[in-house]
Amino acid sequence: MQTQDVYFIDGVRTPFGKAGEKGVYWKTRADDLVVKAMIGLLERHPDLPKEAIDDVAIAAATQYGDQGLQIGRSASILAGLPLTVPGYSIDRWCAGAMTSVTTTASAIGIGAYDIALAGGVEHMGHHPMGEGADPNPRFLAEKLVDPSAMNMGNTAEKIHDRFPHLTKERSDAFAVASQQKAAKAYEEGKIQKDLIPVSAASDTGWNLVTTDELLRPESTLEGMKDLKTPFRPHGKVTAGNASPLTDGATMSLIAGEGAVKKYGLKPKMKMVSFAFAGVEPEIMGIGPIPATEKALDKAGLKMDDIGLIEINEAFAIQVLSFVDHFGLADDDPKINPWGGAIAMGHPL
Amino acid sequence: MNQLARHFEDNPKVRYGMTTMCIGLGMGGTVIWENSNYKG
Repeated sequence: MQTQDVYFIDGVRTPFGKAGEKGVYWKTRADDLVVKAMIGLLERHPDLPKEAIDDVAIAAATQYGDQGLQIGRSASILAGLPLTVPGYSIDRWCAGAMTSVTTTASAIGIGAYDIALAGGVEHMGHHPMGEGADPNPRFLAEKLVDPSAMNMGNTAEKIHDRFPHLTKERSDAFAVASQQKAAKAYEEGKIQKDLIPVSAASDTGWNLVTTDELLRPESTLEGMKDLKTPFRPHGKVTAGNASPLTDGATMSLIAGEGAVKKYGLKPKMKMVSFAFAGVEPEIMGIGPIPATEKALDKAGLKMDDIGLIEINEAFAIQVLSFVDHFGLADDDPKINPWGGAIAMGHPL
Repeated sequence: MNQLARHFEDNPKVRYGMTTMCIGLGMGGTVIWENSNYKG
């Protein structure tokens, strides 16, 4: 085997839907969502022989029901990939699809693979967070984690506690900006380029889903002020400054330099480094800080060298803790220029 | 990541970017990428 550079060739996703009975995907299977994303991605690369794909990694946090049956393999069969192409499932909760990319990229980097599909799916309507889980009683009996660690909203309130200068007003302002940036990107047709439309059944017939369902471009600071704080009386985290529960799927095409040359692929970006890191579970939102420090260190880069940052917006306060740590402004234009998960959604 | 890839296309003067996210039960993940459209 020969080590090689790893490239992100292309990526797509389904439009994101609102989780639950009122959402556009309530009557759509999770595996069908990720299959649509796979087919949509491969249709953009008609000259790539499908049998050249060395592996398919698909993440799902709940690997059960319509996300079960080893979804990496089963979705590959459903998408019509040659039966000679293998597949596997991944789980790292929120960062499942990211881990699909880093894991397949690692295999490509050491030369074991040339081309892989890496993605993820979460139908949070069909599979609420923690569905079927049976947490070990030792977590609480031995105080291994704070009880609030099991509820993501509570973990966000804990970040506000730890950094009192990151106020609710700043969180709300960041959230409104995310909505406005996403609305502008939509108006300019930026987001739609990489959305794979999904035909979805409903009580009244079939719909073609072409846009994210949860956008709230009408959000204002004034409107945000008095939203309920469901996680704590007089809290700071609201439905307005958090990402909504979402259904959706993503898929990307990852390749090594050998395959790029052989198949004439046009890379969009080259992997430089990656890292994962752990923090106290009850303040999980600050996790990107040590992960980024590790990744920068491995790359031999500093935050000043990074010109664009795509950060998940599980909660506005989670992004604020990151920008605060690295000395960036809340509204730094290099952060999520087209908005993020507060506007578009976050399938776990 | 597909958004970052599009941002790179729109910003050929930017060489490096990152995708980062928080993860339940106390983790974070970051991937650093180099813009294939970089024209310094």
